[in-house]
Amino acid sequence: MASSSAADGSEGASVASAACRDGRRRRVSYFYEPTIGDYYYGQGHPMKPHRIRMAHNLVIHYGLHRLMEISRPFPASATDICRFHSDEYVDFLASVSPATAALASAQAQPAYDSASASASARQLKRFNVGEDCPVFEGLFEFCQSSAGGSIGAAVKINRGDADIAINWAGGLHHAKKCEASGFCYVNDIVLGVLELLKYHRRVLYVDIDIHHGDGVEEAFFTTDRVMTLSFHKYGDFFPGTGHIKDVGFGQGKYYALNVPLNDGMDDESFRGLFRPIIQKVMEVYQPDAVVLQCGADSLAGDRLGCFNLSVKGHADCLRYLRSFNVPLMVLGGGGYTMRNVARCWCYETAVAIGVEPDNKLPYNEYYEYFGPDYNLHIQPRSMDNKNSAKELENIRIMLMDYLSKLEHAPSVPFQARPPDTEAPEEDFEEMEHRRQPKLWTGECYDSDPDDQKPEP
Amino acid sequence: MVPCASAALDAKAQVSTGSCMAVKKIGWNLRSPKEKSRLPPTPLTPHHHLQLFVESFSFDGRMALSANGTYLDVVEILHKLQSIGFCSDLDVPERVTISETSSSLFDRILSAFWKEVNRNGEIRQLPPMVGAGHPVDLLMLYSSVQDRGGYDRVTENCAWASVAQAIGLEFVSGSSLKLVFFKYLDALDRWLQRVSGKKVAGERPGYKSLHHLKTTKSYGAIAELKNTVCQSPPSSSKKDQFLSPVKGSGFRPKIDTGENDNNHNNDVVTLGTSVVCGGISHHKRKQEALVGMLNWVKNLAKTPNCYYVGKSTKIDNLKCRGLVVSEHYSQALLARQALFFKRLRRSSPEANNEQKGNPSICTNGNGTIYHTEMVGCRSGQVNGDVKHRRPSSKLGIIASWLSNDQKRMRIPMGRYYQAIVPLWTGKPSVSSIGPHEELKWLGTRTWPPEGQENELCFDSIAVGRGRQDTCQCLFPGSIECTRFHIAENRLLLKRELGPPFHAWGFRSMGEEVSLSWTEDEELKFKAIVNSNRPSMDKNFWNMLHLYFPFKKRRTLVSYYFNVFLLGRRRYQNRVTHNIDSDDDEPELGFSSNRFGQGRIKIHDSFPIICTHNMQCMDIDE
Repeated sequence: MASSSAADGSEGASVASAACRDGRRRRVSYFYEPTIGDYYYGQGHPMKPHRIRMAHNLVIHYGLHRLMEISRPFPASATDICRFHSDEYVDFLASVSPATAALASAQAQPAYDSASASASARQLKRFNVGEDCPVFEGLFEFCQSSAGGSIGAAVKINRGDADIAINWAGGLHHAKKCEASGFCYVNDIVLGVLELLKYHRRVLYVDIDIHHGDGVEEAFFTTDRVMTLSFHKYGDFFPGTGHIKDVGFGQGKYYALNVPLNDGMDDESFRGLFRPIIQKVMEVYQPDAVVLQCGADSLAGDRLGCFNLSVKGHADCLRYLRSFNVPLMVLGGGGYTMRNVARCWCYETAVAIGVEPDNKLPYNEYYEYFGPDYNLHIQPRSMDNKNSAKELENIRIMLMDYLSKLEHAPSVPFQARPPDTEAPEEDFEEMEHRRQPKLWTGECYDSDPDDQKPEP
Repeated sequence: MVPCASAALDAKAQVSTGSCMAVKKIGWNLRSPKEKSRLPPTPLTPHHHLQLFVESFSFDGRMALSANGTYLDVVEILHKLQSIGFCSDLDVPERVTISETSSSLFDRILSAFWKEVNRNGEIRQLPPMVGAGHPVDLLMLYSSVQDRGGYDRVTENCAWASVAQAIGLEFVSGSSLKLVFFKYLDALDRWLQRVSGKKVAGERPGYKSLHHLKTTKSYGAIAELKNTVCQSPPSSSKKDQFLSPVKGSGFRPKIDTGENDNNHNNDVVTLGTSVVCGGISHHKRKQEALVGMLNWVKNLAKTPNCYYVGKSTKIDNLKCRGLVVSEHYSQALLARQALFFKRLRRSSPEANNEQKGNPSICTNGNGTIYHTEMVGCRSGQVNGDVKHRRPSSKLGIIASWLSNDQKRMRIPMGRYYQAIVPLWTGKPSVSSIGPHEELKWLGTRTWPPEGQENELCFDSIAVGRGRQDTCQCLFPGSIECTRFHIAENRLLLKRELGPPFHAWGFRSMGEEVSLSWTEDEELKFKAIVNSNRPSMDKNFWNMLHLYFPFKKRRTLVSYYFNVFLLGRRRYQNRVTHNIDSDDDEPELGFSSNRFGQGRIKIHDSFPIICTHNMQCMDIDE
């Protein structure tokens, strides 16, 4: 809301939420599926849902739950998933099992060349399910929980029940409409954003996973109702998309932005790029809701990543976005060094509720994972930052240029919205009216949806 | 601004999808003209290719003497072929001279034969390689298969391994050999059988799929290949590719009939190695197996004169020149190829065609939403009318690809790719199913508990509190000390949370999980994991299922993360300081006394002294 007044201080453009006038507190809703940790992609596979359980364990041991609402997500049904994905693909996901997949790949041998036998083998191939995206036990339930959490988070925000909604099991940004990709099968982000779009005219998607958020970008490549902004490693890196000149198409031109980076990004460089770009985006685009994908593989020492961010540097992105006081959905994503993922997401949960947790981890069930220092924060490594100041500056200039094109684009209907930054008092009243603090009153979930969108 | 290719050279072997920009460059620039005759991806015409190939065998071989003592008259074969109209322009050698050259004569006949059989001018690389780049003598292969009763009999009897041994290759190359036979000798074999008047069985199962491999030859397929038991290509139908909107690992089917098909043959036959060719593809993971190859390429790039690539890969010298080099070399070729196809992925022509049919999604109204802008592209064709642009050949693509290193992948558009975003009507679109439907998404609230919403403590001191340094234990930091504090915290938490403690699954978190396991079971688990390491190409989960038939997969996974890995991490923290929670490859050490035991000891009167000594009790057992 107060985008233009965003300060450059560490707290960013902090504005009080309607519910909590102290400027720090937000109503946070958090989704956790207790069985998530027992899904297993297979031996040697870097994606380990156990990290979500570790993060949750830390969250609870830090006592963060006391300041938020925790829900178990409702599993998304095949029909719900089909709101983005193709029917065939979802049918396949719902029906495939490790046994049928093994059979199919056995039948893929030349010895059985009958058309019927290789039908499922063809499907595996067609939907890109196999090596990177294996068929594991409970695959579909896993997707259902992940998607259910993100849709639930979106509904929470739509209803005005929460300022920030978190789903660490979500953020699977590579999944395509008809295809699995990069350990992702169902794109919970797209489903969540589609839900948000029911009540919000413009949604901003920010992706700080080290991999490009290609699935989300592709899904909203031609629309201006969703702006996607991805910060990622580019060049000889999965998934290969995310060039700075990919900016969207048609109506969506300049509504898909990419920040390609090189190895060794550190806190300072990242912040130097993230903050000004986000500030400009918030100013120009004025999103009604923001989705932040917090892939933790951009942390230092990640098994698949090559950036050098500390937990604090990573969480600074959340801190800054939170300061704009726009409804915020926070999702997980990548992250392949389990202990650091747990650290990062626990700290980010704390940032969301506005608490600075102690560096010394409380004793917890997974304490030994965090040895030998048993601290919350991690030290960046001594590695070269291959992003020169000049390159970063050029990237910034280029993005600013794109954004300025938006500003002057005549077809963009920003004028329809009242300039809320100029009259803060009125704005607060409006917010007060709009978002009744429903969460803590005990009377549940009977909002009038018309209430929530006063502007035309 | 954009990471440049040269950076990849200095980079530490950063292996991931496309880590091989360096490979690409070397592959194209550093090759000596001489080796072109056998390098698969050389952009030459088929004819040119063959010519070079034939020249390189300036032999005078006449007659065959296969190594296992079976005489096989190569000249006879040639006569037979000529009798049915093949190879008429090959001159018939008069007599046998030197036995070694019979193989090359055979090869010559073969290549001439292929040239006539495959009208599309497909060229195969000779000799095929298996395993770590061992060349296969096709004549020996052919004759030893004939000795064993022919292809079908050998397959039936699973005798490929013995064939491999018979021709001096490793036992494990058997399945690769089967493939080699299929690709190289099957057609010849069947023609010869026809000449001999034998009844020719219908097309061999799988023969078709081999040809399909050529059209799909996805890196995915390559990777699958590695895993398939018999290391033969997965079947996939061409039709599927055309119909599939997603094109799985879709490639342009059209371009594959062209010049460079020998690349793919090369892939297939070199797959017997443990080289993880799939790793270079569009995989997200790092593949350490490729580090060696990358380093090799890196060195090569730095000091091109020191590595005589051409020589070392030349067939004759393979055995005496380090095999390592050739292995790296073939890896590098594969990597380059995989990269190439990665780029092609998702830019197949079907995508465009489909878009045309579905203008409803197109936001600019006229149905042409082709995202065709190229970056820094020097080839003029690209920025022109690109709507129906389809590179006429693979060469065209390569050329345009090489002309700009950072040309980016296109984002496909159309109804198979984008989400359907309704227009903003100015009002929230209230769900047609009603508010009840929406409520279900709120899920089951587990915190705050029913009726305690207003009691939420805003005591922010307690929130975010970490470990206090008030440990009274005799040996702070010992295993027993930590276990004690964890148990203590757990108890406090349980009291505070009440029902949510169970609802969040705290009962199945941490080492308490092991309480439902007997000591024997735990030992067995540990032994199985340690003796079935992924590095030995074994899957310990399969073994675990075998040994614990009554435990569900979920139970085993839970034990693995909650107890087993925790134990390994404990050992790392205290002994090796080689911290890794994420590799499934076990280390040798394991530091844990049983959880249950430890818990009992805490309540002992003098537990600490002995437990301190027990810290590393079962290291390296």
